[in-house]
Amino acid sequence: MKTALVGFGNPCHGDDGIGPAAARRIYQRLPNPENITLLELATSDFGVMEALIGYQRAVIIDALVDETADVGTLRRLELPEALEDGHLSPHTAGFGAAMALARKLGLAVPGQIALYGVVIRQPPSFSDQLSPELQARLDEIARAIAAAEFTA
Amino acid sequence: MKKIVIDPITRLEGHGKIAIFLNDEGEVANCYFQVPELRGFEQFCVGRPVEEMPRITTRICGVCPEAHHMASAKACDAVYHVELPPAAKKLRELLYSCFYVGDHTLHFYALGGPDFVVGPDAPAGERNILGVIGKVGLEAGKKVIELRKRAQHAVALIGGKAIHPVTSVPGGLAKPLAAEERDQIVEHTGYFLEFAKFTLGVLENVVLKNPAYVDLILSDTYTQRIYSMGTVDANNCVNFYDGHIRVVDPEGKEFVKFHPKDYLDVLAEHVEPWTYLKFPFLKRVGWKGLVDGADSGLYRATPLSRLNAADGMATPLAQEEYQRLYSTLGGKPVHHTLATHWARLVELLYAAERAAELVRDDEILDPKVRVIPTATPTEGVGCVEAPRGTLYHHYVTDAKGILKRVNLIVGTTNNHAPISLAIRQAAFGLIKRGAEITDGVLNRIEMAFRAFDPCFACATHSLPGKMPLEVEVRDPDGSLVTARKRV
Repeated sequence: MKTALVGFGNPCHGDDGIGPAAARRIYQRLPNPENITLLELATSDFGVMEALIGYQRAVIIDALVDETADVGTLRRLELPEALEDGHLSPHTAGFGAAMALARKLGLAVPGQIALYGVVIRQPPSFSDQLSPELQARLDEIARAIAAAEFTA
Repeated sequence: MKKIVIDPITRLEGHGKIAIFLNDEGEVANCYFQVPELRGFEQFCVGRPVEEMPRITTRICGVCPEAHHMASAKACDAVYHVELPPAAKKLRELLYSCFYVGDHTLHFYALGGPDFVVGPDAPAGERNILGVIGKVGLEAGKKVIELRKRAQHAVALIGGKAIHPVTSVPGGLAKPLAAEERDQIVEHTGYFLEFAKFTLGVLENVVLKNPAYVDLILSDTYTQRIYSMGTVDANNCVNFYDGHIRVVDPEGKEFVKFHPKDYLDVLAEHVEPWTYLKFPFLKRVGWKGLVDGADSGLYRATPLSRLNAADGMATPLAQEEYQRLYSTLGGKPVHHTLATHWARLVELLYAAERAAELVRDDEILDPKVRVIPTATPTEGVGCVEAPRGTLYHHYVTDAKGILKRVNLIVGTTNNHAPISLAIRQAAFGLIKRGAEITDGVLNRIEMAFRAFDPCFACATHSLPGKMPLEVEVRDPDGSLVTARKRV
């Protein structure tokens, strides 16, 4: 099954880069990366949808600001919530709306999408490094997603 | 005093907040447009080799990285005192025109269009691209996707990557264009042109043939008579990639025309304590607050202002549409903020025509696409018209090309004051004593800034992108009276 492993976020904005960092870490350790493409995407939600055309399955990792949880907490997000939400996000059309549009138009977007959010704090400024706190949990996050999505 | 907060603003690329303060009579006492994020990209760049900037600065924003790539590459050219080979300049402009086609398309169908195509008072859940497709048909949706795919492919062929191009380097481009790549882009530009005409047809049928919408565009609620800025070529026609910056006054008379490297002689920045974002203004006129008129130094840098600041468009079909816009809206200049949507489509047509011209120029296949810099790097300014406004990159390096100072004025920063003014004017015009503040009223206030296509490059992406619109009404003592949330 042609799969996209997507790290979504800005690698120059501190912990917002956890998506690309985690996706890269997972990809490097895949024992069998055939049919899996690593996509590091710092673009709009609409752009993510466009990048997923042609894949049958997608695993998407993004940063998630949540002051109530510890930094590095991994959350599996529910896709139905996104698809039913026709609301438009600040990033152009919103991923939910973009995916709904794609399906309505009959585009070959993935039928299976797994969304993961990694809890971060709002990055205070630009940096190409993860915070020490998040860096310390990177392996654990990558292992957890890999175990759930890429082991037989 | 009551306070209404619209936070965060939907369909804005980044976080922003509109705070409207009501007096005890329920009328608007004041209105603020706040950008709560602290940036710091310039400082992040200091200490790095300047030649890395065309790749690093694309990370400022995931929506318009091509604009930063171009402005940055031009600033690097200036830092190294190199003149580009003609093919390199044409290829960069071709890439940039293709990017414009895709970017302006997305704004019309996903961001600005829903207010008109679906309607400003339609339920919030329907005012989106799905709603637009529902109105204009599935075929239109397929055309949008196909257009975007072709635009990204053209950008990738020249720029190496579709989303974050990498090939513009100090002195030119890292690779020439192959003949077979040119052939593919030729085909794409044919599609761009037909699509641009189709979209102008949608505007004509849905907006311009609806007298209520035309009245809305022409209403005082959405009108600010301020200066207009835009880049022009040697014939004073709109150009996105290169030229001089021209500013016309509220009557349309040329106020100043300058080389981008002199921007600090023309512009100054005002600071307010309630927002991190500065307010650029015309230094010679001065900062008079958020007011319009010839005595106020506020200017806009948008598709509409680019048309106002120019004498015309450099391509035939866009020129016809340019003339039609001004004859329909009462002559030049136009200060009706909502007319920016139409101006954006004039630019879409121009970008399609310009791309078609450039790709057919045989010089574009010349393998000489770079001059290797040999001079000692010093200081340089690079400037392009980003879709959202004039974009300045200014770098100062040491003799080894290590950045000592970086200054960026991005499109939306130029428009901070006009956006604030437009929102304030809309709030004062639309919120009346004793009348219910409906979702439609709040959306009409948002329409005032959405026309600017503002982008604050929010870095905290949050798939699936759930960003409800929250409205709070507060008592004079600040306690919450009522709240509403859009989903």
